Amino acid sequence: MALKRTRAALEADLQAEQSPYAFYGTPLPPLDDDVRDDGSFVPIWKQEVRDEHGSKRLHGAFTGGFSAGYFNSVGSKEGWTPSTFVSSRQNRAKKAEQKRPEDFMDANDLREQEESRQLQTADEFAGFGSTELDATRRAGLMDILKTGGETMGVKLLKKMGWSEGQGIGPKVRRKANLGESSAPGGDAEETYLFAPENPPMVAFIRKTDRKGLGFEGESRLESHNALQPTRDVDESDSFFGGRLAIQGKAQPPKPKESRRGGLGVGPLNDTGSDDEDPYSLGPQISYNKTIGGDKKKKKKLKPEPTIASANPLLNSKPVFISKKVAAARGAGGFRKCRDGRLPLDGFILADGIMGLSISEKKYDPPVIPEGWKPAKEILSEKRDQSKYVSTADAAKASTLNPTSRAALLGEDQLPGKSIFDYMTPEAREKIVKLTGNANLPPALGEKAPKGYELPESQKRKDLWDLVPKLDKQIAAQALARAVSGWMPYQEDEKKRARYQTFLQISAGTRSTLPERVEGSSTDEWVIEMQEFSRAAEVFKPMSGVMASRFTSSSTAPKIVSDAPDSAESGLSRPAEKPDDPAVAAAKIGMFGPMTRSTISFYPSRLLCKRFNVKPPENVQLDPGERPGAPSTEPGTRFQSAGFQAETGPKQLVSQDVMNQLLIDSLGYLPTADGLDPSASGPVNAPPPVVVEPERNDALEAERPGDAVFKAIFGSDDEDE
Amino acid sequence: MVGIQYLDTVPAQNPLQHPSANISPGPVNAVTFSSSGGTYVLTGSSDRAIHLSRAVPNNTNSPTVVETTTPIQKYEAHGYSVLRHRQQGTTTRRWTGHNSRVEAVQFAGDGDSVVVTGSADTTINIWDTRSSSYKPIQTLTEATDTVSTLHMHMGTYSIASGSYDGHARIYDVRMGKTTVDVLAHPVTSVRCSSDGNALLASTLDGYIRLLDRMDGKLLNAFGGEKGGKGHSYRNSELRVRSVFAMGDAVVLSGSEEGTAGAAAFAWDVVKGEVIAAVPVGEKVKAVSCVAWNEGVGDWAAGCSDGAVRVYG
Repeated sequence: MALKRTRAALEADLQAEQSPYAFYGTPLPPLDDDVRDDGSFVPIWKQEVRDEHGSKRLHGAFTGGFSAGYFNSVGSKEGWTPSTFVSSRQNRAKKAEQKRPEDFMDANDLREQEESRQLQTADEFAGFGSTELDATRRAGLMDILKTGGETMGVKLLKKMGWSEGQGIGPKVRRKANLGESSAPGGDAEETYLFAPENPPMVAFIRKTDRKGLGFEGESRLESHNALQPTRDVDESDSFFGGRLAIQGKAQPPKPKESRRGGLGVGPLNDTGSDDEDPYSLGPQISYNKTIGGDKKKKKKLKPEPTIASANPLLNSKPVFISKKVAAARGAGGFRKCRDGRLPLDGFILADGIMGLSISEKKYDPPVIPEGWKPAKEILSEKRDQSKYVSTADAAKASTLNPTSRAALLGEDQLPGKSIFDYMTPEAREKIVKLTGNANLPPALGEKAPKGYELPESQKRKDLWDLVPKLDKQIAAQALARAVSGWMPYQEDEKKRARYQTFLQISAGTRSTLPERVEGSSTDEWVIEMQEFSRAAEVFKPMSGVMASRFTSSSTAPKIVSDAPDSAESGLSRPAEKPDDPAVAAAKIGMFGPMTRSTISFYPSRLLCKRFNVKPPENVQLDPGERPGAPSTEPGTRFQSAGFQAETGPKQLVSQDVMNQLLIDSLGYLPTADGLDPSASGPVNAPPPVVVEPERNDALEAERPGDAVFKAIFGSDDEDE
Repeated sequence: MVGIQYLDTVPAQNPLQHPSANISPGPVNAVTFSSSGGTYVLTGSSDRAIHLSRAVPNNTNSPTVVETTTPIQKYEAHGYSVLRHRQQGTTTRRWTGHNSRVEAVQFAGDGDSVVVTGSADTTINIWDTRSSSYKPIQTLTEATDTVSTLHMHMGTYSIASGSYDGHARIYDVRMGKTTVDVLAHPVTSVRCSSDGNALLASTLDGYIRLLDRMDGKLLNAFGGEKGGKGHSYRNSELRVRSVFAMGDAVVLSGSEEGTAGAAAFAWDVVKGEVIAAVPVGEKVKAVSCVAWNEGVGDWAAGCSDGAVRVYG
């Protein structure tokens, strides 16, 4: 048997067995099939270094090596390549992505980061584990439920300059409290600004026993006997303290709680407080055992720290007043409020009032001398209370009215009466309706008393005031329209007549009062007149420019076809207006030059062409812009309608000439020869201006004589 | 003075009335004879139809209604005048430009190249038939009221117009002048004599006046006579047309219903006397238009009962 095995055989064996030292159980499979795990010698040429991914990456001496950067993380063989940034107008560079720290981490860094992460709560909870927040842990179970961190209020206060342990409020100027050990002399006089003391919060302690209110005997015992020994423990762990205080802070040391003597209180029960006098015997009553200096004398002797607030108003007398004196004065004025300040000026603490009532000296009222009698007799006994009647009741019970009272009093009868005496029942109804008060005195409708009656003229004037004011012109226009045939209230003849009267009055042609319907009241009359006024406003004809724009066809003759429909409208009577002379002449049959007028006519060139005539001179002259030429635009024809025609006949002959003519025509001079058309100059078309291009009057006129030049330019003498 | 040849021929007393001339249900507003021989009567009536009837009574008593077309020449209550081709019955031209109804239409110009329209919007528009322009050649705006009547006299190249404002205006195209005659009453009809020297104007005061166109003097006035026994000329409300007849020797006119019914009247131009008063019937309210056919010597009267009576 060959002892020496070949290496190949050994390796094969190892490969097969995989784990030669595992005698029990199932060996784990080898980490790597290619690698022996038994620690046997492997020649260097067979050793390989591979990374976790199985690739050969031998970098050098350590994990990095000189080529570490290139192969592991950075971009190029040379190392870090500077990033290039190219941006052009056409090709905008994209905004670089936001790089995170992870982008620059390799696998190891990432792994470390992963390991460093721990799952934890955002805030520590005070109830578990740590004791670092002991100072704030006083509230037992509540601590478990609330976070131990600062509340928002505390954060705010801290930002405002507050720090833990201080009171809240303006700083107080006082002497430095260096403790009792400090030397009393020296710089004790120096004062500094200190934050105010932190006043204790009021702790509301639930009453769970059946003792009387304020009874403290048992608790005193408890606190002094049972609790006292464990006090240190208690303070360290309030969880078992048994008292749920509202405030989580340390219970304020009860400053002046006097230890009263109790059973079993001895020096062994010393709480470490110097204030206690463990050897005092008997019930400790709250009086000073020493005159002029008790156990607090030490403190009191050294001058009371001057409470000097930064606020000068609070800066009040830092004078020491002994308790007794204070009690005697009864003011209690030097007692401080809970926040450590003096009460406001003029106020005293409520506690002090007690002392006030007790100790204040009371003065008896002055002694009434004997035999003194008041000057006035007391009549109250005589009056019968039950028969008392108030003034209002008495007034109600009285049956007298002002008139009878006046008679009783002997006063002169006043002429005045109630307004209701003069009211008509309708007016009273109106007031009742308006006020909703049906309890008004009856309306008597009396006439005014003698001497106060309105004079007739005044009455009429009042009536005139009731007539609505209508513009005179409007009334006249409406009246003219009425004359011309149209008028409202055609269905009611009487009303129409009244309307007409009203218009006449408004136009000033009548001066009587407007008529009224028989049996109608003044109100109805006024209402009707107002209606008339409105109607006149509405139905007045168009005036001014508007009227001239429209022509009425009311007087137009009807075509035969219209006749059957509108045979009877008997109101078509043309308005009487002052006749135009020409019209007047035509009406009396004087046709001729009076009725004849000539105006220029500017036929368009096309019209002349269509008529196959030579255009008239005025057209030929200025074909483009004829003055006043009628426009060929259909839309503008209304603009000139009504203006051009009026100029003709009106200016034809003046009124004087007309009168003259009439006189002549009546007999004296039957012929009207004096008036040929040429006489009516202004109407005739102006003679056309003939422009001769061949001739210039200014140049070719005869030269004026020398005299003219001499007159203009001066005499010849000056030339010499 | 107008030289008028006086003819003693009286309009026929025996009217050749067409029994069935009663074709249009509405009153007849316009009547005219056809130009060639006057064998046809063209009537426009209120039913917006234009009827062309045979006017000459031939062997049959009933006139053949040659053609009945829908509105042609005068299309009232609409602001446009429509010219229709008479033979084909189609609208050859339509002009829009009047804001109110068209009251009078006349052909004018050389070869009827122009149509003159007078409207209730107080204007006279002159339209060109030879161009396709939608605008009038010219608009005459002198009138201040409805232009009720127009007459074109080609001999003097003038357009006579009458308006309800009581003025008769004659636009002389050749002279470039407008002569305005004040008649003081709404003018319902104007007519120029054939020689162009006189103007016949009917007004609502019941007179028909013949004015000298030269100086506007009154040559004669017709109407106003108290007929007494029979018919008297009346014109106070309706638009009644008047024409010259018999070579300007006679004035023919319709009339409103008087005491004894409506009639057509004829006056001697020179003497001014009523030559004849032809009653047209009992129930006729008015004879609104008359037409004279010079060639044949007929005349026609359009009546408000929708009948056209033709007298020979």
